[in-house]
Amino acid sequence: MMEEQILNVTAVNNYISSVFRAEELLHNISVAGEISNMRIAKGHAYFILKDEKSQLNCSCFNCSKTYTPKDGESVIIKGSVDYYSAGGRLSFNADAIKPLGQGMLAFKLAKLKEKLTGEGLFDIRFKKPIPPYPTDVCVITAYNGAVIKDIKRTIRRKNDLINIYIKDVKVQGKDAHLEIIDALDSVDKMNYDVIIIARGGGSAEDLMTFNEESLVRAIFRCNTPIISAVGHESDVTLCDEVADYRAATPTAAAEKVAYSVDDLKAYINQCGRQMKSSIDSQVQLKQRDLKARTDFIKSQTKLLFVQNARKIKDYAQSLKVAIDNKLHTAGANYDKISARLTADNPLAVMQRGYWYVSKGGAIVSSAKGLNVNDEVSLKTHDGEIKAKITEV
Amino acid sequence: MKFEESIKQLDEILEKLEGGKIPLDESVDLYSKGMKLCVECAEKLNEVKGKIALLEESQQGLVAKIVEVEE
Repeated sequence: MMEEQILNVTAVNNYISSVFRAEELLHNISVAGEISNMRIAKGHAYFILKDEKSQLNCSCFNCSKTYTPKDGESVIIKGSVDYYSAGGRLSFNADAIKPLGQGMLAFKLAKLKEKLTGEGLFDIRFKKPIPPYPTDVCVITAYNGAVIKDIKRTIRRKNDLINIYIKDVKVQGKDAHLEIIDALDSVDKMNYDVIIIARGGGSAEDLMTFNEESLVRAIFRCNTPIISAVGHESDVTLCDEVADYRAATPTAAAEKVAYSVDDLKAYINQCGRQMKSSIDSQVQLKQRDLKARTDFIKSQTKLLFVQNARKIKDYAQSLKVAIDNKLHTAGANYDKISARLTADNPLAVMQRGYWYVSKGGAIVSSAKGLNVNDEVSLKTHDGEIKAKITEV
Repeated sequence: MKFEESIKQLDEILEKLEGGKIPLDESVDLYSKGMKLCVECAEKLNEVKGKIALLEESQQGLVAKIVEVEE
């Protein structure tokens, strides 16, 4: 038989406490219910939160940090479940308490935001750029409010060129969003460079107009770039989320569109200067290029001329040498031939007293070819004699 | 032409000119066009004064009724 393990109370309570601490599902949760048995002691609130079937012991330390409800009030409390070891009691430690009405509003808003985010309405890829030099700016706001005065003043301080078109609308209260949607749909067709939706600061309820789903969708379907400037810096509405640009305040929206005319003038001058220097440098480049090519052609021509001149001179020289050689050889041959001719000349022999005999044109070199009475011709070096053979 | 468009065209011309990849005669044409734009813009910037108008409903839709002209 196993030996029974005996624990003390502290060990059990510490274990229970550690189990609750480790359970993430019981931390940082929001619970809705009705308040009862509310009492405040030493700055801490102790109460019971209940619904139709159950109740939960709750505490809120330093309760002045949050909303303090009364018995019977419906609230949403945010906090964690905690087990108090020393007292062996479970309680819910609330960090924040919100009246249910307000809590529900925030809850609904969060749900709507989640839905529209899921549909991609707030996607960065749908954001149209705000033109840097708008000419026509349309402001949808209350014409008699302070907001439009701020916007006009801010724009005009830097820019006296922008045309400002104002569409007067109701910016709070029931159906204000419908009026703004109508205005948006009409001005979107008028080809303005940018539309500003503006409203000054107000309570959360006042700004709820700018969280209306239909208005958010109307802004999304606009073709004109839209700047949302609703409330103060800390107020972020769904209009701000869906707009192409969120300005923290109406004045910031005006700053966004009001480009400085002086800066623009300077920029245009600079463009002119840059274009001039660009074309100048291109012309210079072409001139340099042209000169380089001309110089090259010149130097090539000269080189060719020099090369050819040298070649021609060489040819002439070779020709001369060849001719000289030829003449020399010819001269030598002539002398040789002439000497041989002189040596072999029959006339020279004949001058020494030799004659030669021919009969009928053929030379007679033997007595055997002759008969008595043959007529022969005797050739001397200076003439010809006819003779008749008398004896053989 | 609105400033927006003029400035955009100027930027494009400048980019092409400074890219240096176009023939000289085309560059000269672009330069003339750009300079003309510069002069037009500068003139407009000096002459034009913006107006402030209130949009009112009419049978033809919204019409702009000028409420202030800056002098």
